[in-house]
Amino acid sequence: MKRTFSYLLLLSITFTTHFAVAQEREMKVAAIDWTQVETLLALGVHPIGAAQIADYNAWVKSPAIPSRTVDLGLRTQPNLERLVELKPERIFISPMFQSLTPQLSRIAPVTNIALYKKGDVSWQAFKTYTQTLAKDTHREAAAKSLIQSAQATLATLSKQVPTHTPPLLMMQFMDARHVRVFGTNSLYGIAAQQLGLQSAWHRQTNKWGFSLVGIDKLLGVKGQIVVIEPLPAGVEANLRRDAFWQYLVKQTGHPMLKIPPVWSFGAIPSTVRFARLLTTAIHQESK
Amino acid sequence: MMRTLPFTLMALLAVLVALLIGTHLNNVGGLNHAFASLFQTNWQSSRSVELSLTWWPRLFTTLLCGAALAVAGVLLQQVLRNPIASPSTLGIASGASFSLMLATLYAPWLMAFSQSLVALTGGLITMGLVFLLSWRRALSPTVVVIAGLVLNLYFSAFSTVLLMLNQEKLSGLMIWGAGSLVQTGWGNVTYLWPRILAAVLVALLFLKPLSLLELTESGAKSLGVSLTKLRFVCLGLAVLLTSWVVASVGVIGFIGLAAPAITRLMGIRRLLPKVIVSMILGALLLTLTDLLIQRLPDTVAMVVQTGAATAALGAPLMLWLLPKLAIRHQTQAETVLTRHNQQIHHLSKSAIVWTGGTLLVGFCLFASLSIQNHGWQWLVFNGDWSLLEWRIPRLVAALLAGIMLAVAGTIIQRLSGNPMASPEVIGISSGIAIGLIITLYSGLASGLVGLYIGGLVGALVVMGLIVLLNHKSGFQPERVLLTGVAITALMNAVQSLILAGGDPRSYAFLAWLSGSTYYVKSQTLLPLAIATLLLVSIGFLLSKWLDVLPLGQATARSLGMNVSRSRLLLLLLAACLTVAATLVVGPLSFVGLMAPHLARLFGFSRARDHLIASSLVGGLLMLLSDWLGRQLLYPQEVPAGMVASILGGLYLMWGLRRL
Repeated sequence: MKRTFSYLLLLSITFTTHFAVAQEREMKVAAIDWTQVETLLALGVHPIGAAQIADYNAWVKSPAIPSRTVDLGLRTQPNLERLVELKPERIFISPMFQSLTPQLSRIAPVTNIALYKKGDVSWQAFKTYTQTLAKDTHREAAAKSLIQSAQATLATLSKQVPTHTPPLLMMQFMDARHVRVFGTNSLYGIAAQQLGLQSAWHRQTNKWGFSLVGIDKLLGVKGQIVVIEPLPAGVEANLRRDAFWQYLVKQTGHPMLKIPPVWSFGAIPSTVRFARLLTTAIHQESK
Repeated sequence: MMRTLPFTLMALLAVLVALLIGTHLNNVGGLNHAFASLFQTNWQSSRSVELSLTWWPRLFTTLLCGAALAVAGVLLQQVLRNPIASPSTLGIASGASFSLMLATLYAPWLMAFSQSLVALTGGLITMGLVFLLSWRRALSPTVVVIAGLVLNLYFSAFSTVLLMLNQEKLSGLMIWGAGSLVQTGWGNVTYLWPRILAAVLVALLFLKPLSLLELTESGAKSLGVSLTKLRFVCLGLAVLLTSWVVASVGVIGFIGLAAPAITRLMGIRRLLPKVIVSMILGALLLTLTDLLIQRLPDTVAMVVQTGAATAALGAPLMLWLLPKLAIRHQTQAETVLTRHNQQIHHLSKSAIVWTGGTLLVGFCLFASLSIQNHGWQWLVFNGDWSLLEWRIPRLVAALLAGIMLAVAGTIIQRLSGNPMASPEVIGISSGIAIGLIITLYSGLASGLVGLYIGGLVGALVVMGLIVLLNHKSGFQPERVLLTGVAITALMNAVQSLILAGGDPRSYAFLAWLSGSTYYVKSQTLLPLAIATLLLVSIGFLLSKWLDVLPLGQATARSLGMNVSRSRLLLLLLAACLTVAATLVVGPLSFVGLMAPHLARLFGFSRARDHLIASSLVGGLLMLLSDWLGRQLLYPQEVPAGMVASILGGLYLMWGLRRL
């Protein structure tokens, strides 16, 4: 009896959710910018077309693009004929790909949504960005719950971070001698801030929140070094041999932390993912 | 005067360098302390670690690299008897860069094993190919330079495609491509100095026979010098020197061209002092640039790497020096591509009909046959004719651009008698690119119209520069080419600076730069067609000049021509053709270089026939490239300009081998 009941319950749940989805007819959208793709997916919108899917899976990783989404080719030059055949109702681009507008708007209305602007990248900007995308795809409710759950997750995570964690020096290796150091205006910086952590990099950063420097410029910066993967080929072996790098890590007073790849120029989904990975890494280190 | 000038210049540079070194060392805690750090690292003091593991090694690496590149430049210019020859002209840097890209993408374990070995192998293989292609002509200077140029274009085209497809993965290599001299230990210095020393010593052994090359080829031969062996050894040394530098610190532009050029300008004729002065100049110039760059404020230092900066600073210097540069007249008849084909072929009617027919059939086929969402489709079967709206404008634009570039290339090559010449080489395309970069990055405009205007202004400025710098010399071909080389070097520098900065906007720039018909709409076609018709007809009207001018100034004058005015007019025509084509398909399409060559290999050598043949070849090449580019990696698109240089390059290499 009990089993039958639960079975019925399960059936009814599946049925109603299925019904609800069917009622809110899915809009056929195509997205060129990966940040838009990740946000759309998190909002429950499945784009019919996205650009450079294989590279998205390598660099953004999550949320995963469903297999029925069609690859549009390069982000700089999405395949026009393929887009024509897919007949999207709306195409999302970011200002970086603005030069595509005249061509793409022959296929479907083009919406240009900006996120990374100088001095304007903040948690608030991420929220507004998500809400804008949600409004254009009629997903306001989904946006609200996405933001709420993200904030709840960040709040929980921030409680797990040890109180005496030093400021973070977050960087990505370009080659054995050059790094992008992320500070203000960056996704990593925002994630750290939401966890109640500080960035150790106070020099000026660019529009995308990083400074490109030789590792010799890191000398004297006090803070916990956090390296975001992937490391370019050969760099790891090189660093192990590099007396200067060893000295650099030693003078910070903390061992280096490594974080699995997270898209550096993403929005809410990447922020939450980074915050989670960062908390885990700090925890393991403090143990 | 002649004797004191070199010393004054070198002393001035040395004083500047010493001054910068002194102030830096003084700022970081006194000279004594600083010099102590040179010999021993005091691990207790972070200042001492910084000096002894980063600052001092950087200084020595810079000095070594500058000297090595200058020697390589002197050797190349001497052996090839060509003032434009430099380590980068011969494709060594692009070969090394290409091999690094391949290794990063497909064999990362090789990069982990030894990055410099990968770059060295790439540079050596490129030079090996150059030797192979020019071996049958006893490594004749012209053939070597053409082979180097073709390989250069070839690797650059491939590299750009790889870069477009894998921008994230290759972003680190872009820093290397801009030549950053940041050091974190003495590894590079200990790697470089014994090798460079050995190479320079070997080079000094060959100075005597090398200086005989100053004489004519036959003169040197009669003195019993084995030319092939001499060229082989000296080119080999230059390649090794360049590859070592490129492998350990990255691509450093211009030193290899500028240091020997300045030395020559100072009036130093004998080879031994030339090598020594160039070496010192190269070392000082590079070090001065690097020291200045280290003093830049953070935000600027982020995007400015030394290698690209030397190129950016060196280009205006080169432009300024140009009017002072005495260039020996290369006899026009020495142009290889006219020499091997003495009998004149007339273009038969049937050949035109055949090529025209191929063009027409190709057009129809390319417009209707393509990969679509569900594999290969032919519009005749699936009836989806609405797609033509997307395909035809692109194909037409490719065709027209191909024709215009081919005509421009033919004009410039005949005009200069230099087989290296093409619209890309005289710098007009680069001017357009610089204009575009400025428009894009200063935020003046990001729409298509804005970009076009920016490009046009850039082209006009470059044309103005070419006219300004060359009107005194009567538009002497070599000088015009050198102007172009300097402007192209400037463009390359700006480009690598931008790519190295990691600014995501460089995506849009790279896409345009690679020469794609992506942005063509039916509205752009009409002005393009009018421009093509008008400019190409003018080209045919002036074809008589193109027959006479290659015969040399004296002949032309005796036939009653105003040589410099006709040169200026032809140059202007070529520039207009290039602007019109480049604004549509981007500056990198090399059709202007390839098409005239291919037409010649078919055997047409009278100007009118040459123009007809090369414009047909150019049109066909671009048409095929545009179509292929959209099918090869569907749904990703390979830009037509890239496919054209990859296809044309293969054919050109095959042709070179037959020479």
